[in-house]
Amino acid sequence: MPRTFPVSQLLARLGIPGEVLVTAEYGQEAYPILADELHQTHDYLILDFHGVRVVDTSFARESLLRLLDDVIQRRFGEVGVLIINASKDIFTNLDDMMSRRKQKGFFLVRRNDELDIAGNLEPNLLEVLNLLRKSKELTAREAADLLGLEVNTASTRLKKLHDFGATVRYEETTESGRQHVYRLLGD
Amino acid sequence: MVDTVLAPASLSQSERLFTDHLLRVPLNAIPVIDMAAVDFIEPLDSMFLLLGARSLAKRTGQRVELINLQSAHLSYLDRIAFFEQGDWVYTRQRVKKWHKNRDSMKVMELARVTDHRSVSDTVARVRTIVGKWVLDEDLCDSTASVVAELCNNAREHSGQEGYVTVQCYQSRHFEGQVSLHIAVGDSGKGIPAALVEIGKSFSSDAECIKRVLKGGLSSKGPGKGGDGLRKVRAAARAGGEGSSLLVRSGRAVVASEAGIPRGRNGLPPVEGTQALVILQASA
Repeated sequence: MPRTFPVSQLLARLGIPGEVLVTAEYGQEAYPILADELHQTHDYLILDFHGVRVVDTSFARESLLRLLDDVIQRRFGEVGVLIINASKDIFTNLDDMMSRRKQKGFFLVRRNDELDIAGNLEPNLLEVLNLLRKSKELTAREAADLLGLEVNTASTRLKKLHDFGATVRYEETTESGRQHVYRLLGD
Repeated sequence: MVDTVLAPASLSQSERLFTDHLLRVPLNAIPVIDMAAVDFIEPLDSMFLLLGARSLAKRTGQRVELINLQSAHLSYLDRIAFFEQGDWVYTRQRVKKWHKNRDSMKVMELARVTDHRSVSDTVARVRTIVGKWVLDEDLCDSTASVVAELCNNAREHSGQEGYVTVQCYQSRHFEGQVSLHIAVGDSGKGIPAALVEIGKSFSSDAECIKRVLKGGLSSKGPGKGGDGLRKVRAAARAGGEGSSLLVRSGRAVVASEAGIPRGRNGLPPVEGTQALVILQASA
């Protein structure tokens, strides 16, 4: 089950007035709070930005980006992060920060009832992600059939998306054997 | 000895006040700035006046007096809490009546940023105040974001405190639009000097500023941010026709309109960095 954390709680807990989360120092104070939430999460953590209008790059780098690195490094197991209710400015700042980063990674963001990404994704992974948006659930075999790929290739791409924290997966047993079924966070 | 400096008629040349004239005041003089010929004071001008006066006070060891302020200008400086920023500048004149300028709709008091708490408080205040001036929520967020980036720059790279003011004007060029003027300034080492300290060199100060506007270059070293001014430039570019960014530092000024930066070198050196961002919005 996903766990939801209202990011506006950081404002009260850090004694910050208004609806803005800025500066590296506040980001450093926020990170352990967010990491603790992630530690208690099964499946994925929903960061709800309702009530927060601005997050600057310095804050994001010290908190959200570190959290994403925890996800990618599987520091707290196979859990992901989904961002919801982010203002246009917050999304733009996250997207800009991730796009300019040398290491790979992205945030999954729900915007206007659609799933979007803040950052860059290799074209072949983006193709699979777009497929997941439409199909809701996919196995490697299904992805392979739809994209005209070898099953192994499709499996690798789904696993990569999963390792970026963008999907949840469960095992099912069919006549062909055991396989993973992947679903995007928030779907 | 009292040394009176005549402020230029247009404070849009206020940087010259900051540099040319102030540098000529003898060290042991009692500095006075005669504001009689000043026509209009805009946010960046008040920034130059504040920082220029502080520079003059440091240089002479004396407080700076402003004299012959027009009633409207005195009212404006009082309104933005100009004389409350520090004891280095004062006036004996008293505000007799408030003036309303038809073009200047709203103004935020000068805010001083010294640490992360004051940056956060100021950004929150800007967001709240601009939110009362302008209906466009995205523009309010963008304005607050710009202030955050500029304040972080002032604090992290200048080694000094910074100052911020925001003013909302009726746009003179676009009917039904307002113009947000965001001025941020500090009197630290300045962009060119800060980058020279980490071993970077450029053909001119203008080229240095233009390079910083592209992003990825920080006086804190490689991989440590450096995207603040690039993002501000991007925000100015996205801010609609008539939006712009101006950065003054070292011996140069760079103005960026529609994302195209144009620089000018050979100016008298200013202390620190001063920036003006203009964003257009529907009223």
